Amino acid sequence: MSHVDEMTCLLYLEGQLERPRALELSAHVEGCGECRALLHALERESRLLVHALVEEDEALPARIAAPPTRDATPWAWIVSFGLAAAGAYTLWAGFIDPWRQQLSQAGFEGTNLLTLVLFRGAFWKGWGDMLNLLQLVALATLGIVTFSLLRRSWRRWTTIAVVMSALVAALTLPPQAAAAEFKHVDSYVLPRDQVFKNDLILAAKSARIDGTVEGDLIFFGRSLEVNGHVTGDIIGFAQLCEINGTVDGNLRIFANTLLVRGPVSKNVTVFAEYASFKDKSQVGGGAMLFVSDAVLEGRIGRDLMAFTGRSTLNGYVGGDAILRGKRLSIESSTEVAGKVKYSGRFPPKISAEAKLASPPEVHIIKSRPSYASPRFYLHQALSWGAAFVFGLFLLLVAPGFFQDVVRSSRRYGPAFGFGALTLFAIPILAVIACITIVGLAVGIGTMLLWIVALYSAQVFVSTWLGEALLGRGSGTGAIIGRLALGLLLYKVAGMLPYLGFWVKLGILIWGLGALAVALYDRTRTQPVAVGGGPATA
Amino acid sequence: MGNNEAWGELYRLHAAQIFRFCRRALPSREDAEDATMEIFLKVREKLHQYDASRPFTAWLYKVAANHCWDLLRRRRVRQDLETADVDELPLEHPDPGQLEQLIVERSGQEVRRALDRLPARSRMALVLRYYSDLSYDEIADSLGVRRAFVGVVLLRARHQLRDALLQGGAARAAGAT
Repeated sequence: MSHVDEMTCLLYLEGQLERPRALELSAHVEGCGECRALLHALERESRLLVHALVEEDEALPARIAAPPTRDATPWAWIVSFGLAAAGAYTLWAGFIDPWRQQLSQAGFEGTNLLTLVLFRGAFWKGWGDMLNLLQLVALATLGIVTFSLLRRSWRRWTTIAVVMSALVAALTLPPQAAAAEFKHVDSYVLPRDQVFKNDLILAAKSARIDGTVEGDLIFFGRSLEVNGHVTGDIIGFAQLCEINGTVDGNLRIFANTLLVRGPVSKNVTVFAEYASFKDKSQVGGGAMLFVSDAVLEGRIGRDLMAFTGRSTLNGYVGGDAILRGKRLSIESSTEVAGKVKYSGRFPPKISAEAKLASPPEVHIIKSRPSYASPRFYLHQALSWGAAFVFGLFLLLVAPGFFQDVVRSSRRYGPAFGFGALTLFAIPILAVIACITIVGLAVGIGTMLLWIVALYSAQVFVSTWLGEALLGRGSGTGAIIGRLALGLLLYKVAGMLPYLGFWVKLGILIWGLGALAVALYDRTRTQPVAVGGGPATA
Repeated sequence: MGNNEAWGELYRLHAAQIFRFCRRALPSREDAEDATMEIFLKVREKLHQYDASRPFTAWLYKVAANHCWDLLRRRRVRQDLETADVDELPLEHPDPGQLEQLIVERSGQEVRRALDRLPARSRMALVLRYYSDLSYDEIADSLGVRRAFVGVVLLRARHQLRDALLQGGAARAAGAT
């Protein structure tokens, strides 16, 4: 028998060799000095390992000297849950639901934001695009599942290459005919007597629609002038939009300047620097305006909701007029069939000749929170309750990840760095994605995730704060207690005059960064444990 | 064992061992402290699953091993590849004299420091075998490998440990000059 290899020697020492082989080796070793020396060395190495591992080099830390106890008595949970649930319900009933109803009247109906934006007239493109979207989602899901299943068996880059190739191959298959026609030109004119029988997606420096578009009109460019007839919706991203013609659907405009002189049958949503609804303009549904300077001289069939710097109302509103901004002027030709509610920095100027169904409700906004008002503290308590419930949800759904993020909060430098980057970069990327039609769902989805991440930031940092004060506990109950305390301190700190805003901003950035660091750590591979890991405390 | 006193006694008997186990298996002391508490909470919840015909410490270490290994995997610490590296493992005959010299010159602390530099699975395998004294079947179950590869994992880990000890010795010598 030749010399015995190291593997066989080790298995022999560990008692893992079959008996015949072990006997053979034993017999060989008696006559072979080198193999005997190797066996002896391996045996000594094993003893060294045992000695090194078993050696009592450090005492049991004081923090874990006592046995861990069970979670807190159930009644504390019940009370906490009850308070938090009551707070969340009051928040919903008092603030969110009324807003939802207002949005519904403005033409935004649906059970979630994605449905609102995608499927309720604003960007709904028909079943053809719906199927494309579903196909994309299905492909992406398939890719993710395939990758997850294969990642253990395959080397990483091979798996990625195969999955991505399959996705690209699937995407290059002939797409279903979209229910729209896309035009990318320098300047576009649809002549008066021409009818465009399809949805029209137009990217141009300037566009003039004198004819008829039998479908939706979506425009990206510098200036849009509609003198003709659009039977569907108009969605415009432009510097200047002039709507002189007839729109049978909704009007959704993102512009610097909007001038409306014609009828819009359904609802209007405007994000603009300046918006003017001339006296011949008519909006059949409601209007929602996010405008710096708004002049409303025309007719609005239902409710008006305006967030403006300055509003001048001199037309007809068939429902309620809810306005929030710096200044409001209600002129003599104004007629409002419903309530007028105004919240602003300065008192409104209301003409005596204006026809208002009821006296306007005016609320002058003070620049600082009203500390003397119990309502202010009620808001804070509800806000605490909502954040606490959210934190519980996160902890129960993903306890491991929750603790990873709290642990990442202790890495201050990377957390703040990543947080500052994520705070600004993600919305910018989402907007860029939204600008391309294909990326709309991606852009909106990203923004929603970003908002959720922002909200969750306070949860993780609050838990860290609780741990910093009470020490790290063990078990879910301890974490919940630290979360509750930390959130309370966070809310109190947020109430500080002047400083409160900066405290909240700092914690948002910190928490967002900790979340990003934890996600980054999860996706990153670490080939070796950190060199020279602490052998002593 | 259903009352708090007995639970406390159980904890006092085994906490130090489990903490030391976690200390050896996990990268930091902080992790080891957290893991120790979590392991005992799990033990308390799973006490009804303990088979009294088996040694209690073996079962305890099994729970501890699974917990630590799950924690390390969750952190995506890269694991050695299984089958691909088996062929690469040199079935050589190392120089016994050099090996003896390496062993003789090393203290327990040096070995522990070198252990900290090993990949997670190698470190875990050594701890399970030479600290917890688990069988090859139990080690295979904890690490999620086939029993036939446990020996390979252990030998590879010992090779890596030797390299780490040599590097540590070289660094020490360079620092001294």
